[in-house]
Amino acid sequence: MKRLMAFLFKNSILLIVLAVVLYFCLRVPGFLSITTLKNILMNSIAISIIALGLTFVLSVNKWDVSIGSTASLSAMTTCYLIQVSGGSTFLGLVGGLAVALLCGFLNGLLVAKLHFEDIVATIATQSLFFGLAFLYAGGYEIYKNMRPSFRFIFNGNLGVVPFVLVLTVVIYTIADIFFRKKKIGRWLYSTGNNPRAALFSAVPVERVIMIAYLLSGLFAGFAGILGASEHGRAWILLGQGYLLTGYCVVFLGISIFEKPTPFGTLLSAFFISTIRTGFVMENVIYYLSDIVIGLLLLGAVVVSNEKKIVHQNYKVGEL
Amino acid sequence: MSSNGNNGFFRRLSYNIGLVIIALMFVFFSLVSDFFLSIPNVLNILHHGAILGTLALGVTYIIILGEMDISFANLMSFASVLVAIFLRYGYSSLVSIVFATAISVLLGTANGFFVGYRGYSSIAVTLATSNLFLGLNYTVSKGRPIYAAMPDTFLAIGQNSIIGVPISVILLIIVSVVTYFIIHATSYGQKLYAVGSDQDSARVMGINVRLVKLVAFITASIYVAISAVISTSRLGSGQPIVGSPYFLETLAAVFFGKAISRQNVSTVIGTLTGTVVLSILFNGVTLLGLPSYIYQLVLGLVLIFAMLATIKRRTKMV
Repeated sequence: MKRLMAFLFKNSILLIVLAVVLYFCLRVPGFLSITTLKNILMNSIAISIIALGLTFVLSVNKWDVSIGSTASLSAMTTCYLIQVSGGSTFLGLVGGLAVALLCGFLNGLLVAKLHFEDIVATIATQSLFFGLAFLYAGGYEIYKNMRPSFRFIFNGNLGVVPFVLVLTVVIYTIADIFFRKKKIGRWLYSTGNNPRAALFSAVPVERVIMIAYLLSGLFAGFAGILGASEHGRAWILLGQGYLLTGYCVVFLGISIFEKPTPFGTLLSAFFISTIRTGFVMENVIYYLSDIVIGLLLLGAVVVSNEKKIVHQNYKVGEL
Repeated sequence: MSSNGNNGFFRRLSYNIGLVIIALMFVFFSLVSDFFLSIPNVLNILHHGAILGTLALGVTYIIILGEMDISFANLMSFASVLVAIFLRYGYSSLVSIVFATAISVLLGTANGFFVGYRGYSSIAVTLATSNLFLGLNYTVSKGRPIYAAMPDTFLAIGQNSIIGVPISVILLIIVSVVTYFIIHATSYGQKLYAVGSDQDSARVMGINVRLVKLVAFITASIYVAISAVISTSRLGSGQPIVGSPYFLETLAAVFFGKAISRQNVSTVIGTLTGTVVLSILFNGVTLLGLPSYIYQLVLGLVLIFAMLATIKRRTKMV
């Protein structure tokens, strides 16, 4: 009985999510269809890309709150370059991703090399990137000269499968291999668990943290570009909602698999997207989904932390 | 002290980097704008500083503990909406303020409980509760400003002056003095610093770490309620998004104070210095007619440079 209760508690968030999904399947007409499934998958792509970057940062036990601004800045850069160059999608993509990498590099420089507090440093850079994103158009949207090749990135199909879906699966497969089979995965977790011990075990701690921030910036920028490609335009507040949903997704993954993993992140991105889509189809007022996502994040934090406490056999912060 | 005089001078300069920045900004803005040093403008700066300073002093408690609060901005918006709603239902100013403060304290207690008594990561907890507060706020206000026929006694808090000094500024001075007393002259303040530097050692010394954390979050929520009352009274209505612009500014003010302090800890004086710097900056950017996003940009840069200026005094991470 005790073991059953422990099992139920361990998987409570997963069970709640599954129950909600089941509810939608039974109650919402038209929910169980290929079109809805495709919608859910397409809605989950930007958030799963940005959450993959957060998975890297959280696995070294750091925080990056600048991802929303990075996404906006990189989307604005891409669309600005396309508009100025008269429709060169390639130039825009390269420019946007380069800016995203630069953002990640600045974060990594401040946190890994200069040893600033991660939250303070990324709050500062968040403000900085947000201000920089304004400089292109002063708050207006950028939408001119968008070619079909740019829209193809998000909206195009390879046969019957959306191109971006294939891309996401490929990125996640590579990330999963790096996390589970390569040295860098071990390095990430050992740095996150105890940086001092990792340093004494010959792990290049500073470089690992730098890599985590670089990837977080890169994926945030790519998610921003995907958002711009979906709508064919870029605007300042494009990346605004990414921060909370991204962290909610990663923590949900942690609560299922006990540590940040790419697979857990992907799975929970799909769940969150299902819940969101279900809410829209049920015609629920929009701010209720804020409450639900917030509650889910709180629940995920509770479960993942209590699990850790049981695992370590003593209470956090208690000797 | 270094034998090299030049080095010693720069080191002393970096200890007083806050004063240097304030002085430089004063000189710069009074040179480029004639209006900067006039009395109405100084009052403007103080008005802005009253709301920002109260919030920042509240957050200081949490930062001293080594914890983080993301939810205070949304809590402030919610408190502002609540005050306006209670006033609209015809409660007196005092009762409305007390009710709204009580609800803030309740929500702050939730934060403190999860962080102090359950030991969860404060940034994750407050990220979640911040969204909850936003949802509650929109559920109550439907996302629309709350207008109410506010009594004069309530409006006086944010709009009237006593002998030329705005009441909100007098409130900030009272709050600052009280905070200075609590943090730097009582045993509770010492406990805050003890928990912030090493909570396991603090526990062994017999400090009730959980209670210290809970009380800090509750205290912070009272400060948030005070700033919500000041801003509601100043605007004459309850705005559901009044807190969000203050989010970054408040954290910047507190961390600016932390960055310029000698031992890399938050202090009341440091936080107030940060508040003054940001208020002058905000006012100066507005006076120069620059677009508001320039302020965001400069704010990020100021925060980074304040940290860079004191980098020599920082200990290594590992």
